Parts: sequence; C-alpha cells; structure tokens
Amino acid sequence: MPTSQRTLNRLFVLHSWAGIVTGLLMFIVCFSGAVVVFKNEIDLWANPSLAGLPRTEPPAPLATVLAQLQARYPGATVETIALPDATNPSYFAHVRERGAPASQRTKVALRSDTGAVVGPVDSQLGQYLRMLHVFLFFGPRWIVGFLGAAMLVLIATGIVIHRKILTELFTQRWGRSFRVVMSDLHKSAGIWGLGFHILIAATGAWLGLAPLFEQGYKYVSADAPAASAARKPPPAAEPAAMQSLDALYRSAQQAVPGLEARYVSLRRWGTSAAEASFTGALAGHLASTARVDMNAATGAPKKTLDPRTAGFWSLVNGLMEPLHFGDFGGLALKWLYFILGMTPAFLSISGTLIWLDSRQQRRRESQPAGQQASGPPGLQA
Amino acid sequence: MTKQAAAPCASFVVRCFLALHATVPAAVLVAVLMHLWPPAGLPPLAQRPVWAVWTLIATWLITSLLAAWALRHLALWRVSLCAAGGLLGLAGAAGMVLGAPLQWPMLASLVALGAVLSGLAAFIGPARVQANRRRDNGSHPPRRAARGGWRWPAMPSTQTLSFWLAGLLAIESFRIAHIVAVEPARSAGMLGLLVAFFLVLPAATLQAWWPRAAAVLAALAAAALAGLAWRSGMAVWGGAAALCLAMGIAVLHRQWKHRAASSVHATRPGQRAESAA
Repeated sequence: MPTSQRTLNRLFVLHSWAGIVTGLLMFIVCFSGAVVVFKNEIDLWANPSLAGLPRTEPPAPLATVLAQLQARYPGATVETIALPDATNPSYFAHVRERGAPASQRTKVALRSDTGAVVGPVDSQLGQYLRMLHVFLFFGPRWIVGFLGAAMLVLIATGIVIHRKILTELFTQRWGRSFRVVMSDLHKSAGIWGLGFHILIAATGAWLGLAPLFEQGYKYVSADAPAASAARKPPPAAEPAAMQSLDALYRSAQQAVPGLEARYVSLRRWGTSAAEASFTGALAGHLASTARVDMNAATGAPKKTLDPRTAGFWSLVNGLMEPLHFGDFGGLALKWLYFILGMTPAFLSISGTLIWLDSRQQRRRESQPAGQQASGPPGLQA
Repeated sequence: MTKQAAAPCASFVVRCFLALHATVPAAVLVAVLMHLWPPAGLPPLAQRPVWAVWTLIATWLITSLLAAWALRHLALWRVSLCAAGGLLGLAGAAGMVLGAPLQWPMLASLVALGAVLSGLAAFIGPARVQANRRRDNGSHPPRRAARGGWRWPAMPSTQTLSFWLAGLLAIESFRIAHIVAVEPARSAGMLGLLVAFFLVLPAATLQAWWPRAAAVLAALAAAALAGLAWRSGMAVWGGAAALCLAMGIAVLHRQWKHRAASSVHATRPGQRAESAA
C-alpha cells in the first residue's frame, strides 16, 4: 500500500521529535552499552592487584570460600559469591560488614585455587559502566526500557520515511552541503545496522519493562486488592546447622540439569530459614536465567526456574540478556556488538545535527535579506 | 570546484547541547582513569561509593560548559575526539604502568580505538562539506514584527494539555511507585507508568495526525485508569481517567469542528453560483 506524502511528513515529524527529545539519553545509553559488552574484561583490567592470580580447574570448594570469608570478616554477612568464569579466574564475594549501613557492601576477591581471601577489589569499573548503561546510575531500569521502546518507534518511522533502502545502503555524497553529507551517513549507518538495532532495542525494552509488566500483571491478577499487602510474616528463624554449599550446589544441579551457576546468593545464613540461590546459565543453552532456591538447613530445593521447561515467556526472558549483551560467542562477537553498538550512538548525534542544521536554515530563510547578509551561514557542527 | 564551508556560529545553548554529546567519551575516560588511580581519603571503590558517580557527572557537565564556551563548531568535535583518543592511550598506558591483568590486549585495543578517534577528528572538516547556499533571494517575506503591548496568553491547545497530562501522570505514577513505594500502591504506580507511556503519550502525539486513533488510545487509557482506581481505591487514578476521557472527547470534538468548517468551505462556491443565478 503506497504511503501518502502527508503521512510521510507526519512520520518524519514524529521521527524528528522523538529523536531530538530522547537523543542525548539515547546517546549515553548506546555509547555506554557498546562499552559494557566488555564488562568482565574491564572489571578484570581495572584490578591490578588481581594480576597473576591463578586459574584452577576445578576451583576451590564453595564451602572453603565461605569459611575463608567468615574467618576474615567475623560477624559480617556474606550476601553473594560469584564463581570464576571465562574471563575472571577468581572468586568474588559481596560482604556486608558488621555495623555497616544496609546499602554498603564490599566486593572482595578470593583465590580460586585455595579459596584464600585476597582482599577488597581495587575497583568495580565494569559494573560502574553497567550501572550507567542500565540504570543511568540512579534511575530504575524501566527508564532505559522506555528508551528501548522509543528506539523501536524511531526505527519503525525511519524505515517508512527512508524507503529506498538498497539505494541508501551505498549512497554517500561527500562535498555536498553539511546536511546532505550527514543525512547520507545517518541513513546508511541506520540501514547497515538495522537488524542489530531492532535486536538491541527490542531486548533492551524487554529487559527494562518486563519487570514493570510482571508486577502490574501480578497486581491485577491477585485475588483481592489487599492480598499482596497482607503477606504472611516470615517464619521465626532460629540458629541451625547449615548444609555444605557444595552439597547444595550438587542438589541444585540435580534439580536443574546442566546448571552452571555464576552467583550464589545467601539469605538468613545460619538460621533455620536460611536460603541459598544458585543463578546462572545452562550448559549448551543460551538462556541465562536458570535459578534454584535451596533450603540451606534441610538441603531441599524450594523453588526452581528452568527456562527450558518453564514455558514460552520464561524461555524468551532467559534469552534476552545474552542477546542484548552478546556474551555467548566469544571475543569476536563482543567486538561485533561493540562496533554495531556504536552505530545507534552515532545515529543519535547525526540525527541531532541534522535537526539543528535544518532548524537554523529555516530561521535563516525567515530573516529579512539585509539581516541575512551578516547572519550565520549554517551549522557546521 | 565546491566552495568550502565557512566558519559558522551557533548559539551558546546549541553549543552546550552539542558539547553534552561530544564530551561523553572523554568524561567516561576521566572516570576510568579515576578508577585506576582513586584519590586518597575517599571511601574505597570496592564499596561502589557515590562519589565516583558524582565525579563523572560533574566532569561531564563542567567539560561540556567549558567546551561550549571555548570551542566553536568543528573545533568542539575535533578537540573532544582528540581528547578522547588521547585519554584512551593514557588509560592503556596506565594499565601497563600498574601491571593490570590483560594489560597488553587492553593497551592494543585502547590505542587502536584512540587512533580511530584521532583519525576521525582529522577526517571531519570543512573540506567534506560545501557551504550552505542562500536559497533566499527575496522570495520569502520577512516575518511580521511582534506587536507590542500586553495580550491575554493564548489558550493552550488540546495537544499541549495532553502532553501535560501524560507528563503529570508519569510523575505521579513515579511518585507512587518509587517514592511512596508501599505495596499495593507501588504496583498500581508501575501500571500507571505503563499507561502514561504506552497509551497517554501516543494519544497526545498522534492527535494532530490521526485524531480517531488518538481518541481510541485516550479511551483505552481512561478505561485502564478507571480499572486501576476501582482496584486500588485511590482517587488519583479516577481523576486521571476522567482527564483522559476528556482528552479523547476534546480530540473528537476538534475533529468534528474541523470537518464542519471544511464542509462549509466546500459548499460556498455552489451557494455563490445559486445566488448569482
């Protein structure tokens, strides 16, 4: 169905305004997102004190790691333990020291061969950049999710208003006016990266907005309006003997075959209500949201999430993070994600420059000829 | 031979806006260097302290203001790109000096990226573009000068009010979801955010072009918010639902008036012909 000129003009205005309103935030999110592809590498690089630590296969038992932490930080709460991965050879743990505020946790490194505590890390640069990309440091994640949705609108309107896709793939007219040169670059970058842009916009919107939809759905589908408010108080926790973390991990792997835990989260450790949650990927599968909650006192699984068997939406949800961050295909894929990830950042800048230039030209043309002679010749940013 | 672009000038606000884009890479790289050499006397980076965040934000804003004040046009981009390129090289060298893990691959990558940015800074320039031609040769009448004296401010259009409604609904939903943040109102606030972004904002945007679609979206938003009011018992959602309904009706009313005016214009020539006969 041919699109009328009037509709095209409307879509062009929508594309321009959506771009100019979201452009700066979009640029920051896309630029930081391209860098965050190398989060693990950056995290390791920004910790000179971890240089020379060995990679051991298999790594030291989790129980040893926990015991070392408890010996080094008596009275502290060990909240999570991150297992060694393809990039980082060491264990890491987040520890809340006794008397520290609830929000203050220290990241500690441990050797993977002996489980010995190395000490607090030098920095968390990779995570810092991820916080910029995902939360803009302070915000809830849905802000970036809404940006993903806005990016989908920009892509859809951009496709419709620039319909000569094959021609524009190879059109670059150097030596023409600033706006023509920039417009050619904008269109060709947009079209060359089109598939990738749709992928990261859709997955980014999903990752940011899914919790919002999930929470809303739970609220609407609850039996009574006050049901969620009247939650049962947690059972009284008494001191109890804990199962070994390694035994719990083995049980978790039996509950979800192929589970390759990246994190272990500990809650109410040392009490009868203690829980250990094993979260991570699945061997030979892309999904990254497998999770088993274990009762650490009895060793029984409390809750399992296997994206392979938990239904379609759970599987989709499990695929979003790897597809968005490209951490499933080695270094080559990361470089590809980095380069393609820079193109939406460039599109934000070029779109802004085109918009400012056309605005300036409109102003120039509306000025009287006498004023124009001394006026600015254009925005060659 | 094409005439090269002369040095142009843009307002300070525009330059600030552009500088906010151009200085992002350099500001992030300053934060990277700060992570490699954290200042003494501040909470350690192992605790993810807030000063690291404020340092990046302050660096970004200050360098943007300075760049907008001191640099114009092409120089703004060239200096920003060169600075980012130089800082990339410096970060790579810092990793070497500190004996960081992955120091060689990181050095190679950072230096290569720095070279790309410096090359880009050298590549962009007036030689790539032609100066703007002045299309105006007197065919455009100059704008009328604004009349002096006080006048009643114009009544904001339905569309302007709709954008205000979308914005206020988003702010109130944010307040309920993240500042009050008490269940079950918190979940209702999150639903309010979704309604504001996916129904009210598109309804405000589309009403100039597709008024009927905008009215349908406004009606859906009103229904969703009314459901939320019934579910949560909070009056604010009821008020928002009423405003969304009013927005939908106003959009349809405007379209109806517009159509009526168009049909009057269309019938006038015929009426004139009849009266002449």
